[in-house]
Amino acid sequence: MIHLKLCMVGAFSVGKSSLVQRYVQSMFSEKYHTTVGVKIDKKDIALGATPVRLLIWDLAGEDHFSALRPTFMRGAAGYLLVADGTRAHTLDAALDLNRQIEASQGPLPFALVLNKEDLIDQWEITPPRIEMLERRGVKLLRGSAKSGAGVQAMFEHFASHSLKERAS
Amino acid sequence: MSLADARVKSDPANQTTSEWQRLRSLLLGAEQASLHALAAKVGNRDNLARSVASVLAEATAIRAGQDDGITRVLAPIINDGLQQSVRGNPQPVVDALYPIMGPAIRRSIAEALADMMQAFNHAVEQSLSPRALKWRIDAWRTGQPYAQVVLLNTLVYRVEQVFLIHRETGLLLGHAQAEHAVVQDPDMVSGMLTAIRDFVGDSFHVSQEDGVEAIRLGGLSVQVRVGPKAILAAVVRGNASESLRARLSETLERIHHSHAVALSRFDGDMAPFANVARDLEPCLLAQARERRRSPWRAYVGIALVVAGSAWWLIERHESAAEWSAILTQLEHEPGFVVVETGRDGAHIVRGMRDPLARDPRNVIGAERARAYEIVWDLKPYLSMEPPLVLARARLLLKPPDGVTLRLAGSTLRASGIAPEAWLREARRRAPLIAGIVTFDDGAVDVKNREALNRARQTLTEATLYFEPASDAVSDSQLAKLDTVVPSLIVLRDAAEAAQMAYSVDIVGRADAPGSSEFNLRLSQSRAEAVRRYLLAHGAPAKLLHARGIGAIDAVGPQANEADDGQRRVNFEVIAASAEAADPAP
Repeated sequence: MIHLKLCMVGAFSVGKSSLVQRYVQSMFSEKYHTTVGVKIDKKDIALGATPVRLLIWDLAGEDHFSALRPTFMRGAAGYLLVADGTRAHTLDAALDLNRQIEASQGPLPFALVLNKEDLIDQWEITPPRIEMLERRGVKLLRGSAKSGAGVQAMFEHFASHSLKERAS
Repeated sequence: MSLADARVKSDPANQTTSEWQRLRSLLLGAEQASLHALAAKVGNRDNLARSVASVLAEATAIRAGQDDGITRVLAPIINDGLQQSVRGNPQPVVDALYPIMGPAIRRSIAEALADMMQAFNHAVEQSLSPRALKWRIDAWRTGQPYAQVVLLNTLVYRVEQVFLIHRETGLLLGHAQAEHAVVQDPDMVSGMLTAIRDFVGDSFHVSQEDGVEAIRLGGLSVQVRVGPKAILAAVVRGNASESLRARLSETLERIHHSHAVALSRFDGDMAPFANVARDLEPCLLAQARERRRSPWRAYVGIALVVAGSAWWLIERHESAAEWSAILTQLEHEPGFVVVETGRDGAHIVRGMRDPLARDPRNVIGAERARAYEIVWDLKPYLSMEPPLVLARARLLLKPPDGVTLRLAGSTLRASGIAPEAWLREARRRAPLIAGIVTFDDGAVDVKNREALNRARQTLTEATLYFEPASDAVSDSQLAKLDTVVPSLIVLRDAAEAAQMAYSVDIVGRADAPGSSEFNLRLSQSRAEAVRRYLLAHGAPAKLLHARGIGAIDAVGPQANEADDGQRRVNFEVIAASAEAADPAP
């Protein structure tokens, strides 16, 4: 079995925890976010013949001004940057966090998750911006914690991507 | 011919030089080439280094075999190098030493822990004891499972879970849990534990090595040991012992050693750690609570001190009390007057003592007298206290057995049966005794008084009559003597018993006719005749004295007439005290 540490990072109230909640049955309560700053959950999946155990470190939401706790990122196989499609500044925050992570941890596999796909008509993040990011090689995933759409796919994408990274 | 040759030919000086050159190369061509090669080697830094490098190891080995020059040269260099390395980045040195350092230090630590399950079973077996009942109540009250309460009460500590956590990722590499332990998802716990360590490390700016070593919450603690690549965390209920901490460190070191490669290349693949749980199981220690031994030594010590102090106090108090008791005793003892007491090393008692009083040592008891080493300073005096007066009377009167003396005021009362002789003497002496004025012998019965009196009476009443001028005892008179002999014997025996000396005078008489000389002789003969008869019939000789007194009773108007009544023999009983009458009986 392969164990992988996956971090969820993103601005405050972009729906990271809701996405995780959608995906796993949690053991720890939400208050860990405000106390320790991280909540850890687990998901066992099978990628082909390979059993994988995801340890999902759901980091407390960051705003522009509070620094990321880089120690929580240590040893991560990758991370999901989560942004709220309906709030453009959460994308800015996510990209800012990405820079912080790259500075402290070096390049790690990551994907940008645009949440709240169910409210796509209210999105502030415009398609041209999304296209631009994709052109720059950023892996973009969409999902909705509310409907559950794309949630499983985003975690499994991450897992398989990480496995490929390990193999190479 | 080449152009050059032509030029040489055209210049004679040049021609000579080149010829020399040619000659030289013809003669020394090979040597010249090797000289050039050597010069290139020595002259060029790189070449020279390469040449030396090729023989450096061999040269070092040869020199090292000859002397310790190389060691001496290298030692300070290595020292400096090591110091610089540690100063710059200690981690590689720490990593290199880590697997061997700990075991070397701790190998000598002995481990002996009681078997947890045995203690547990023991506790469960005793589930009907009052203690167990209390635990059941505790379990019911606190809502904890009974087994948990038993464990908490019977174990000093118990390791419930052990986590081996990859330090970098916080991923769980191995996990072991004790039987019956309540366990949450170890993977997530492992992650959270790492997160908490990180959180504390970040929040309080401590390095990872110095990070959280223990998390404690009530009776539960998480003991954390941090290695270069992995962390060992033990969830301990109760108070972890030093030996457990040593065991954790040792285990972590062993795993670092045995999984060195897997740890340093860890990428999430758990295969190399499939069996690591087995290495963790020895950490699932439990230590049974030792029966709380009463600190009996302390108790005994305290008891001894208390008892000692109490004994000393009591002794002191008793000593003072005893001394005053001794004095009181002496003051109450008849025949003693305590005038003064003091201490001059020994106890001193000054005063007066009647010689008849008891020995003071007997008064207070020989034991105490010895213990107090009393010095007696006692002058003699005559005590008028009744016991002493009585004692004095007893000493001086020597009352025979059967006589009791009592004192009533200044009167000495005697009672009982006493020999007559003693009674007489007592009457004489008693009033002379200090403290006695009168002697009352009304209650004293003289011994054998009746027998004596009867014998006396018989004797005094017996009268034998004689014919004129004859000393022969007629048969009719002899018959009277039959009662006399037994009376004499009674008198003798009674006298002996009463310590009296009696004598019986056989007194012969005559009537007036005849000369007085004749009559005296006649009366003597008559008395002796009776004595002879009595002796012949068993009368005690000692008692009898024959004496004739003639016709001394012949007085009055018919004094010279014959008188039958005067020709007779009588018995006179004379009593005297034994001493007076017969000093050597």
